[in-house]
Amino acid sequence: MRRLLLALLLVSSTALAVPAPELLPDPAQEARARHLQKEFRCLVCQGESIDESGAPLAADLRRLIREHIRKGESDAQIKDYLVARYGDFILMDPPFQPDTYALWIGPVAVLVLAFGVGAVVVLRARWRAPPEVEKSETLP
Amino acid sequence: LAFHPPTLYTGYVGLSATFAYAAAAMLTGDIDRAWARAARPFMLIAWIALTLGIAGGSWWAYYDLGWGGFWFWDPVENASLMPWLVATALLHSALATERTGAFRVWTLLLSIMAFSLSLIGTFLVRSGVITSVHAFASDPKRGIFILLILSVAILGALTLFAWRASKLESGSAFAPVSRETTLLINNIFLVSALAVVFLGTIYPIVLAAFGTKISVGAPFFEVFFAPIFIALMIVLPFGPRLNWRKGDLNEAFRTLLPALAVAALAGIVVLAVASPRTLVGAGAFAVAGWVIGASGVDFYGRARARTLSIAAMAAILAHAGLGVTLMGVAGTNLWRVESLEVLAPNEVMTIGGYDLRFNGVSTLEGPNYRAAHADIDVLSGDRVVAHLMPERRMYPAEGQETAQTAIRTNGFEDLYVALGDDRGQGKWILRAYVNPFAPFIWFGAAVMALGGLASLWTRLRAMFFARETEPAVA
Repeated sequence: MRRLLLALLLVSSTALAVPAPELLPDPAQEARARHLQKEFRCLVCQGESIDESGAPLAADLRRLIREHIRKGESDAQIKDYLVARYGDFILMDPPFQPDTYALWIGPVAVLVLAFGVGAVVVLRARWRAPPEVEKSETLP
Repeated sequence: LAFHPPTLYTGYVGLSATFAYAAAAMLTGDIDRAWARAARPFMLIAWIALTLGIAGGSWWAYYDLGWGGFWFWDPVENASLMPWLVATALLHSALATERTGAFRVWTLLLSIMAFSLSLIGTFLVRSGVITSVHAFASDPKRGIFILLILSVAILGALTLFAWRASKLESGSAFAPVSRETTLLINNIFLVSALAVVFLGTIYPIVLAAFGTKISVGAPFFEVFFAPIFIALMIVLPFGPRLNWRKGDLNEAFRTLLPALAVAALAGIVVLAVASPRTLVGAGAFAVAGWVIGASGVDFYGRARARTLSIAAMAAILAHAGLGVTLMGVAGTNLWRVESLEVLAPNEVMTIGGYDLRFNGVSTLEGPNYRAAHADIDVLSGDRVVAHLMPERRMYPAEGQETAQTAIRTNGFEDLYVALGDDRGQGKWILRAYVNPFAPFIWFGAAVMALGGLASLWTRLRAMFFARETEPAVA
């Protein structure tokens, strides 16, 4: 019985609980809260935002966001507050700053580079020989 | 329900065979059209398995995790997506290698990359480097072992490649407007998409080694991945309509006019009907219509010319499947409706045109679990049209809890209900979603895999039953 209780305790802390509705009475404010909580990461369960997470910490953070909205703070103020308190890790999207330049610019750089190399390949293939026209068959 | 991990590993194994072919080609210096033909069945098996594995994994996440979503850009998911992207690029590049001898060195490099990414994926998932919602038993010792295999394979292959690549005869002649160029563009986009997933997955791990913790979430991936895939799909229909070596763009465009009409129609219908009205949604459905329409054009053209074969169906199905999946992804992401309510027995919640009556929760004893079992009626007026029974199962032995979501689908949209927390006095939290076009995601993936199977079938038949004749190219 004690083991079972212990197991249940463990379960309740990591349960896949669906978030409790601590809804704000004003629909516009509630919509802001819903939007904001998609931008922050649940710190104890890495894959999820606090919007999706059932962890108690995520529930606390959802409540925290609503308290700040009720106090009339802007989205940016709330974001700054949470980042100051928990670090950049809490942001689902990393900020654009020196140590993430490579992350944000990387994909664009690869795309540009790939098109550059592709253009060279195509031009060289054209110069290599006058293309012999094959019979017009369109086999896949 | 968890059939996706063995399926994915089948894909990884298939890529190891392709890798072996590549290594052999580099050692002998012999890479030609026969090589591409011999390696292709393994590429196809790997690709089909990866496609089905990824789709199965995303269905599992959709059904079992109870979040209403199907893809979370979780490192474990990304670990399976990366080899798929390269395998897709490889299938297309090897097509050119087999047909005209083009892109030989690049096909080799893709074979190496595909297997390397399978190893990196295995390392990410099994070593404990990342923590993930897919919490696996992992221990660091195994991680070091995998890292060792990974370094030997990747460094060995790349050294071999650097040493031999310059000696491999490369290059063939083709005009800027040709099938080869479209395959090249396909590869550019797929490799760029790979770069997005790779950077987003690896970057936080590397930064963490320097003591900085950041997280890379869905918004990062979507902002890059979506435009790249849309661009890829805009170019895609031209590929099958252009001849090898030198094609006729005007002629291709002329034959694609019906597809353009389908695209325009799809976009307009979405603008007129869908709410909320979004240009992104109209655009996505227009692109899906463009790709599916092009497959239709190919099908119809071949049927009329009596050249429709199983081999020809491969590209037609695979490309159409991609279009279908795009509709599913766009539909669920743009028009999902969700609602979260605390309900007492006999209370009704309304979501997206459905009335859900909560009849209460009972406790069920399973063989090794205890379940909270909810009973919900879906109402149309006063009539009960369906029962939904979402559960939460508690497994005391493992200390685990799983969600059994209840999904009612009509083929076009899913009504998806998950049971939340007990709020006392018979009240429970219910989370309901209406996911428009959600079934299309997996249906499209199945059609894609069927295309792969069609190609594999003609290959195997040619290999085993008609050795003396040249196999059809597909």
